Amino acid sequence: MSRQGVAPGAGEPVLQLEGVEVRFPSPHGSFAVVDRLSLSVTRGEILGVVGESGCGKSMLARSIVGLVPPPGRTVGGAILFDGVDLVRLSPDERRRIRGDAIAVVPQEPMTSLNPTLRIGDQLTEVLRAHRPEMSRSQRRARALEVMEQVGIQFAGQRLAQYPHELSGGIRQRVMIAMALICGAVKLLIADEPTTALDVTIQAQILELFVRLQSEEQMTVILITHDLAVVAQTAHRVAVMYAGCIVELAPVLDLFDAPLHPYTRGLLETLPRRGASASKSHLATIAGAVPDLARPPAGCRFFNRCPHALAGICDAALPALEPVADERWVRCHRWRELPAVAAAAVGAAS
Amino acid sequence: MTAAASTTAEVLSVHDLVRHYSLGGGLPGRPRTRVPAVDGVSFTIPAGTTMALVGESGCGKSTTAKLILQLERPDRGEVRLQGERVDGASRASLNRLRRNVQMVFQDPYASLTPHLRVDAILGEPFKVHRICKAGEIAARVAGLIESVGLSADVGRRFPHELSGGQRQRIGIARALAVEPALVICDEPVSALDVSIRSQIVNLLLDLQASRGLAYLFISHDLGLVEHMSDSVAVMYLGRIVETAPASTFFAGPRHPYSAALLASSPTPDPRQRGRPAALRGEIASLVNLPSGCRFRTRCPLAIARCAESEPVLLPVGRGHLVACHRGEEMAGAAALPARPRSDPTGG
Repeated sequence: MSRQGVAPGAGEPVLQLEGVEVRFPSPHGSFAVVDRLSLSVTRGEILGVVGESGCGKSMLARSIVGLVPPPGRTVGGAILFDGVDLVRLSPDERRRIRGDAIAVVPQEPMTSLNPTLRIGDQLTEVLRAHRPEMSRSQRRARALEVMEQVGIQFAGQRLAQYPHELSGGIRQRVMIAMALICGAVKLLIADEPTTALDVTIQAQILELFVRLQSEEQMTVILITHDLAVVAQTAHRVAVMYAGCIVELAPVLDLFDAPLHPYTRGLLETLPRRGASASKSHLATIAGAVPDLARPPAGCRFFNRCPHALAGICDAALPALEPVADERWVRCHRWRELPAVAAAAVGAAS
Repeated sequence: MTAAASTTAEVLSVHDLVRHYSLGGGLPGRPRTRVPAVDGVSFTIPAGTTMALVGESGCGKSTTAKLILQLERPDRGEVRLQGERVDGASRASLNRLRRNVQMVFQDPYASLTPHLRVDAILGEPFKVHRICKAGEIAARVAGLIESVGLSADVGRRFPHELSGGQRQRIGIARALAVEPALVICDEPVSALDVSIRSQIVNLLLDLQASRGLAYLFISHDLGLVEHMSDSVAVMYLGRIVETAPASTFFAGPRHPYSAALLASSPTPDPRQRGRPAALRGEIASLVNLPSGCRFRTRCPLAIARCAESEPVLLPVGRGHLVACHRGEEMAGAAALPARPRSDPTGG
């Protein structure tokens, strides 16, 4: 299969982003928080999108569902969902897809639920909007069914409770139930779905995502800052930096042999479990993310990259290029880097 | 004071600390409920070492920190800083004692006064504790800024003009101003980005090495805890359920809750999947505690005895205490059964 002209991805795509650009106005002209991003999401996969705050990962998610907060706007590109370009749809048509075929699970279940409405009313509201033909009792039955599916016990009692009466874990399960309730969801976008939860609850929720993906053949985009979460759940990983994807790879390849210096840097900064070198220095990435209002002409990672070459890396933004089966990287020097790293190790020893 | 000379001394000792909150009772006919936020906690931290306090939200970690700082008065129990009792101390002596213990907060933005420049923020502790003459403050502040790895011009800026990592460095500098023996770090890096996190961790390690600081390190990130700590205490619903030297703890926790925490915390290694969601259900309510062991409602090993009596902390090894009726059987066992998770090679 030729990869020429194909959005970076693998297998049969359910979602294709082509040159998606999200811009915000500023006193000095507008700036792109998602910069001409292309990506193909395979049917039935869990795609992890990782990056630090401000890298554009949440805006990418919002762009897909058409909820970029004003004054921001998706100004360019195409978002093909099952062949239909979402960008060209009217707000009404988009609303029909959102919450039905594409659903979002937000980070903070407390602030995403209406504190004045009972859980049952909030769940069935989705059905009132998307399935007006259903009767009240049908909606209730469906709510109970989907709550059971996401592992909420005593579902009947929960329907009558308010959000503040539930724990964080149950609230997040309610948000997932809400995403599934129409029964037609093909793409689930979860934006930091476990960041606000304790680790034992996080493990339960991640397990639920994995189960939904494998049992329901659902496609999941899991957005997170946590590389460990991605390592535990995703099939493929997109690493974002300053509005761009800098590396896209199957999860094992990414963790075994990261190609982009930023990905490598991120992985090296993590303390390793069972490492004997406790209290030793962790690796760091020097410097800070560039100001997106004045993006550098060359590689966005230039000012922090240990391998940056003046005259090459700061001259032009590298393209996201295919380097191997299902692997893509945005770096001028990726070919030389394994050698550079090996030489550095040799020099040090 | 040198670090070497003081390593044998305890910088902090906490004995049978209790703090109950009252809920309700505001209306006639509504009974007051007692909530045991911290319920009989004891531990010691030797000078120059790090003890990690881990556990889920609501387990009493932060309340314990407040009780040590006497921001909350304990109902019962003893807090000693370098041998001297802090609880019940007079206001004047409390002020003096607080020079020995400082705090670094989770959110560096919320804990820095937004309308003061960094110079003024860092000058404050010198004035409050009358550490030096007014004329010397500027030089001391400059020294502090340098010691946390920032350039001098940061002093003229406001907190909102700094990045998250720079702000946390200022939070650390402020804690160091009074040259404390103990710094309580409450989730000091969890609000920071991954690439900044390791810089702050390294700074904390360097400061410990150069100044002989002891840390009480409150964190939910067990990878970081393993990297930073000399000892670990695990809290659950107001009680310490296990405490051990860090190497012992990570080699084989003996309390089922500790084992579950370790199993639940995700590792950044896709080849180590198949870790189960070790616990079903959620943390019990402090308002309505289960009988016997507080953990038994979620414990995969619970037996009838666990509902009958509450286990107490008993020694199981060198410096290793566990509060579990079945702690003996946990020894050497690979803890909890594993269930396969998703396959990283494909859907």
